[in-house]
Amino acid sequence: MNQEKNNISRAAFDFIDEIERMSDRQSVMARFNQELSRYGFHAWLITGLPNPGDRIDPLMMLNGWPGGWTELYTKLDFVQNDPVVAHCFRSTVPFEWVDAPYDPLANPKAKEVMERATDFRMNQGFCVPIHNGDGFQAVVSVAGERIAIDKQVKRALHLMSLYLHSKAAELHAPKETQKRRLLTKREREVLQWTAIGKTSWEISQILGVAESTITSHIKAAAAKFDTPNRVATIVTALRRGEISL
Amino acid sequence: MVDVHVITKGNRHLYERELDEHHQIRHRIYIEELRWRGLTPRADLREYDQFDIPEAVYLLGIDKGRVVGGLRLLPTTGSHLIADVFSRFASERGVPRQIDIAEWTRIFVVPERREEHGGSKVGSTVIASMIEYALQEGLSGISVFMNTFWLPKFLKYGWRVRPLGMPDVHDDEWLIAVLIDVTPQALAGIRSACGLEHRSALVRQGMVTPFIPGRVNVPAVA
Repeated sequence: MNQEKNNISRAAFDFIDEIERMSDRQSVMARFNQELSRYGFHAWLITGLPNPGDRIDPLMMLNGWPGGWTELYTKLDFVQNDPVVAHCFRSTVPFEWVDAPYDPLANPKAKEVMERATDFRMNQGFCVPIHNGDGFQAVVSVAGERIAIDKQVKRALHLMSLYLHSKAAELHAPKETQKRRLLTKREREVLQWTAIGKTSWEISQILGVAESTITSHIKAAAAKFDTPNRVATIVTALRRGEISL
Repeated sequence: MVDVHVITKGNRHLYERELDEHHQIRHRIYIEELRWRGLTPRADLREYDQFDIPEAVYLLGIDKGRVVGGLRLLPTTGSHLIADVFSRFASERGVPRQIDIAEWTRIFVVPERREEHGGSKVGSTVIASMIEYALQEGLSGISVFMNTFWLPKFLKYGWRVRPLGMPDVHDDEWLIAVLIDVTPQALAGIRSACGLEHRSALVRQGMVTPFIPGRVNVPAVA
């Protein structure tokens, strides 16, 4: 039992380490499928959650739903009545689909969503809601026909989902989160000249500005990188790809 | 603009009033508002715990003379929260105990300064200042025991955050212990993600005791 518990934690930690190094969607998706199959899941989705009335498809970050279900779900706009989605807005903690309550008489559309999902062998599921702090909300949802998850598996799914969501967001909007540019255009320009050996005075002549302006651009770049001197600033800028030789 | 003051054993006599105000705020937040079960209300309406020790470092956000936010850092070589109380949350990777790793506890923002334009500027300024302080003090990491909802925020800053153990439920909350890497990129990342200026909010007055005993702090040259 304890051995089993250790194996589940170890697998979750390995998963986090491995996806950290991945940079393409296919590898991440394949790795998550492999991990989920251990616990009886075959379907999953990582998505932002739309405000009522808005569509979900532009917010989907990484989609592991079975073929046909995404098309049906978006075509019929199931997100408006999905009781699992509704529960994500109410819950800050992970939950099983069965704990996302709805009244089938008062809300036949919610009942339809859950029933149609079973046509795709998505009878049971588990959700990890993600709150980003800036009002944007997302969820990692995993599903299967018959899932057997105890407390330990839930803990593992929770942990993996927090990291997987971050990776999915990074791959979904690479410009925003990958390789964040820290320097302004002018700071890069000044460092570029410095890197090829120009002095501040020379650069001031080239760019037609005061020498003190050049110095302050270099200081601003050093402050952003927290580098102690000019050489370290140039090296950091090169390493980050902000400038090139 | 909030200044974040570094308060240590060596200069705490300059901050007696601010420290007392901060213990009152902690009583209001952790005992009256959040009702943490491990804490009992006190007649003097000030919250202290067993980790308010002389070695603790307080980073207090102060605006126009009033304490508006803050946090506490503890050496991990001695008594601290993860080691003494919640070590079961560090069962995979073990409790970090190094002179260059600090444990972060008791982050707070006074209610009237929360939710300024989607996320509290005071909160993000205090957290960014913590990373900057850690860089200045030569620290490599910060361990923290926290609600899991913080984790996606930290990852969004581009921080490298490693879990120490599995998340678990305690007092109806999902909690996790993690280790955050202290790097210049971590500082630049939170500033850029939270729209903070790329300049320091840290204030050091009087004799600031180095976090790592015996270490001489070389002020960063911009």
